[in-house]
Amino acid sequence: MKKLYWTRTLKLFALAIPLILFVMLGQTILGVRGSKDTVRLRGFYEEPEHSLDVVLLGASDVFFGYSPAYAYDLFGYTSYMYTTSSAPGDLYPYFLQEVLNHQDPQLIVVEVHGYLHDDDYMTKEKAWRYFSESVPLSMNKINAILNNETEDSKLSYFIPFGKYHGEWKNFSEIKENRRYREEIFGHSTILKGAVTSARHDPVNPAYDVQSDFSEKELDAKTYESLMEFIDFCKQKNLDNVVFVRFPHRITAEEEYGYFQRVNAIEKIVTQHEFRFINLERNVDDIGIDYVNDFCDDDHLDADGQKKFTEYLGKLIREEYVIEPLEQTPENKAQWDLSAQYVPLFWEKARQMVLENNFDLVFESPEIMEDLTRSFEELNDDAA
Amino acid sequence: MNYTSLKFILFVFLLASVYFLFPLKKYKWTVLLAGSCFFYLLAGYRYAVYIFFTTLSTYLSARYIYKLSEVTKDNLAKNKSAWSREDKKQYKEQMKVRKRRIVTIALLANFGILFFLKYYNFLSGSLNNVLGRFSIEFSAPTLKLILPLGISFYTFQSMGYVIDVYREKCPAEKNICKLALFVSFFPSIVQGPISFYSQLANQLYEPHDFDFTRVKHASELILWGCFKKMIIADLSVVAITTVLGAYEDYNGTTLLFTVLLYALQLYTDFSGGIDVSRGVSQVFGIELAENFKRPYFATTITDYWHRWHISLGNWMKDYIFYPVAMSKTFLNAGKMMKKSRFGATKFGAHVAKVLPTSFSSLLVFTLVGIWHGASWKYVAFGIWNGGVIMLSSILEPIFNQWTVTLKINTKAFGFRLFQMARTFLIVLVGYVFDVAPSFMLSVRTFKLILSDQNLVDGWKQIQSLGVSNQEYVVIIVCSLVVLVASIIQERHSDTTIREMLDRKPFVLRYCIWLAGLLMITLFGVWGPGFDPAAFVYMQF
Repeated sequence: MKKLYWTRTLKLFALAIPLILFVMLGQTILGVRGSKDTVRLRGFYEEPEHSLDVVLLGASDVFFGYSPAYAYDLFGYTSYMYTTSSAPGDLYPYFLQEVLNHQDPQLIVVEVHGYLHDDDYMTKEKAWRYFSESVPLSMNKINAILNNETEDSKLSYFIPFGKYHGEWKNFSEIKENRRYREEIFGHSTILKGAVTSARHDPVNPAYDVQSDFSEKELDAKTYESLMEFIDFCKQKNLDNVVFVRFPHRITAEEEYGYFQRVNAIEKIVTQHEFRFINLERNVDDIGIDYVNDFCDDDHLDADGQKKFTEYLGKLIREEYVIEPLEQTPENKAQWDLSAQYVPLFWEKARQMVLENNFDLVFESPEIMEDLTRSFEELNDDAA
Repeated sequence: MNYTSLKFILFVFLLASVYFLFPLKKYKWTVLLAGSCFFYLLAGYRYAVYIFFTTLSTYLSARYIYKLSEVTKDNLAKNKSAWSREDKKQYKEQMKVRKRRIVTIALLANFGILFFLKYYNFLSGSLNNVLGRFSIEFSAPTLKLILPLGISFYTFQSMGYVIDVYREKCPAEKNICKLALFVSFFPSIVQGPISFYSQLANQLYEPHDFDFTRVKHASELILWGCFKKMIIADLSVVAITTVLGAYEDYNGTTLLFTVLLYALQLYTDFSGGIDVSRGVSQVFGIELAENFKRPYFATTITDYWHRWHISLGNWMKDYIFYPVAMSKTFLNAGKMMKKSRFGATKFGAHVAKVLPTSFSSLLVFTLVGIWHGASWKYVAFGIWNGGVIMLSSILEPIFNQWTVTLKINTKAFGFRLFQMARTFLIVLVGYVFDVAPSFMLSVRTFKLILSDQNLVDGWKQIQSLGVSNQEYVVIIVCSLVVLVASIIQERHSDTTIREMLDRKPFVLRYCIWLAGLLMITLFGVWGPGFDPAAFVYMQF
């Protein structure tokens, strides 16, 4: 009887184990996906611990508007953008916790885009997926998954195979993801998560908001989310957090509503004794051409990224990062290399637009192949 | 809770654990009742009032009818010598009338609720159309009505029980909680099978111990059901839904393809779900009736309906077909025809003989069509099937004569293949009514299938239906697996494939099990990545 019991148990294990292994393999092949956001988030964990002077949190306006490698080149401090596309405010505390778990930056810049939308923005799945699929397992990640209010089951966040197993038929995407795993993931990013496009979208802003202080109330849950983040910063005794609003072009009523919410957030944040810098007001100082330097209303193009990084980098260097961290020779070499790639990155963006290719430029295997080739040619010419 | 979800599997696992470990064997059925209540309330507690009403009205009416039967027997026994034959006959008739009144009230109440919830908006819409044509200024209101989970299935099942008590086929259940379990047993509440009380009740109330072989067979049946539903049915439904969403955009080739795919999807979805239901029941030691027996191998349309949704067919046969066919009206109609001039001929005599059953078939299938849904297309579906059965029965001598004249060997395999193909074609015609969004569009579909065939355009359209070529390959391969299994089962109808597999080497069984699990894991539609295709028959 006992022998029968053990035989049956072994048989059940003999079924379960290959199934588990199959799911794990499937998870790697189908669940590890390459994109501008997963490259950036995974790249954060490849930076040596306690080596970053500045970390920026937020959404796509940040990684379009700012280039950490260029800022390093001009001002000598290291920075990284812990951001994803469409990141909702509910994710910000988890972003910040990840930063605090691995880095000890002198400045944390929080772009407030995640708090400007209606309450249902918090349940948009995209950013939660990027976060859960890129971040190593930790209590913070578990809490983020358990607390998110997206429609998908929590289990599918822990086991992304549940979400992506249907992608077995997209052979080209499987091949592309494999390239990401082999060529991009697992080592420090060169472009430090920056994304750009040289696509011009010349539109005149409909609203001049330089002296506009009108406010629009945040939705109830969004307000709660902002307060939770502020409380989180206070609990962690963080006196190095600065809230900002990057430049945007306001052409529609909805965007004007966001602007008004920015004013409301500024009031709330300053009431809690945090600094708020509304960079939508400093049009002349920044030197951005509001008609031509945007690829759409929310995102600066390559020219805009250059100008804005110069402005923001100077502000950060003069007011917050008086003495950048001493880097190890290896890390310094890595950052120097990144700085050299920046002009090639912008030139690539311009070239693509001339070829009528309006895809985004970021650290994908194809783009890096081109940039590395250009870099090597440049070095050969210099030699 | 979807039957093919992880949540449901976990629920069954936990319930089975509690059931088998429950210390009071006599009351194990209460665990099933608790599980069924939980399952039903999870689907929507607001609609529980309907199933509660059905359970209560079924219980009270059955108890009262049974009491009247017992009183009748007692009084007849007491007055055996005192009453004359006439007195006894009159007394029996009086009691029968009383019992019939109770049955009628129970049927009207419960079927009335079902009819109202399912058909009110359809009828009010049709009425408004008619009134509109005559420019009458009256419009029946449309109501926001939602069908409670499983209302068709539990209404039929419980009313069958009431009729059985009336017919003295079974005693009335004294324990209302036990009856509640019969009405709401969770594996069959969503899409059947519809069970007879005599077949299911004792199994539900008897305690069953854990049996490894039984649970293993049950798991194999669940796996097989998931294989059919999650891979074949749920991959195919994407294409069908795309066509239904823009029906007028597709040519005859694509529409024919859609109908063929629908035949596959409907079978694998429904039979797959039933396999899961039966497998889950089997875990608890309860054998639910088979609901499908390789219907596309049927050689006649009658044979098809003996193989498709068998439990509904049996219910209709027992409670509608036989009472109608054996009724005085229909029998007299047959007798009248036999006495007529036409009835004097050989063919006329045959028609007179089969007339009651033929008309009953037409009636039953019209009701089956209506049962499927509130739309004229379903009425057409029912009339088509019933009409074919009726005509087949009436014209049988002529067809037999043809086979003799043409010297066709009706026992040859080729002839059987012909019969299967012919039957499948007839079934497909019915499916056109079923799948089209409306009756008028089904008529349009017939026209296009016959007149607008363009393989090149059709192929392009088929490629754009949301199913990739790789998925079509998977559907075809898995369908071939189902076909081979069906052929094996058809040839060995005295046993099951699971029992045959038990006699094979462990390595083979292991490979089959593992292949099934891996295929469902990779190709099956599950998880949030896809819109989970609801069970086709859940709307009933």
